[in-house]
Amino acid sequence: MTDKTTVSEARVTAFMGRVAAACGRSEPAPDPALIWLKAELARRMEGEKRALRAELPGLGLGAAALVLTLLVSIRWLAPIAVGLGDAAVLAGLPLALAAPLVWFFGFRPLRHAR
Amino acid sequence: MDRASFERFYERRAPALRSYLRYSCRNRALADDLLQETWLRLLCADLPELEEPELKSYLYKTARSVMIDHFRKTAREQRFVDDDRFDAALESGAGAAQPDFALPDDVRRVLAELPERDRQLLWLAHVEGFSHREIAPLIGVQENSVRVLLLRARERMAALLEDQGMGPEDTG
Repeated sequence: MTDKTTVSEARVTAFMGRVAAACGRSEPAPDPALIWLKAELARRMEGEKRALRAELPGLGLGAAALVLTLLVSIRWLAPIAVGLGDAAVLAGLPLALAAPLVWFFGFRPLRHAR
Repeated sequence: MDRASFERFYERRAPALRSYLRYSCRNRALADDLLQETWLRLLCADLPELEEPELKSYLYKTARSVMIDHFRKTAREQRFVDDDRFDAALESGAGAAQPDFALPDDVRRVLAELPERDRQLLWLAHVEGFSHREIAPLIGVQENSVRVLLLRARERMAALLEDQGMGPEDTG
């Protein structure tokens, strides 16, 4: 290592020491009691969750239930689509019939009367 | 880790860690929040028995990931804000991480000129005294690269100190 490098390294170290002091490196840290208490609570909650999961193994079948729901949905998708299509046709048919009748017996005579 | 050993480790490391967080996020209140979150994560982690240097390294790794998580979350939240209001907030400086503790002007000028990675490297090496091996995972590079990056960062800072007319007597 050259002298120049050593000098610049020492200068950088000194400068960073000044930065560290300005960032409060020598100030005492806050009381750790609250942190310990919070961690204790978080660990206890996690432990209880684990115990609950062990007691109710059925809850672990979430993924299987999801797949089953998906399969059932796909199985019923086609009949439901057909049913909805039929309903749309049935609901639309009276309207489709009514429209020319309204025009023929309603608007057409009025136009001829003028 | 039992309570007594946690408190001993905390007493030794917390002031330094807090100053590192202040240096990195430049906000006193935010640094205190991140400090607490870091220790909480450390205590809740399922760690094997570690020697103090390894634990110290793990602590700084956790602090860095807590900081990254915080800034990612903040960025995500800002995306939901209406663009005009966001621009106005930026103009007025509201919501930005404003430094709320006074770094001397000359120090701030030098630090502002350095890239973020250089600042991190110089702190970890010169203030914390971490080895190249310990720094590598913290900044996400290979151990061999740390030596080169650190050398360049040091040269850049020395040049800046020279430019600012800060001799060895001003830096100490």
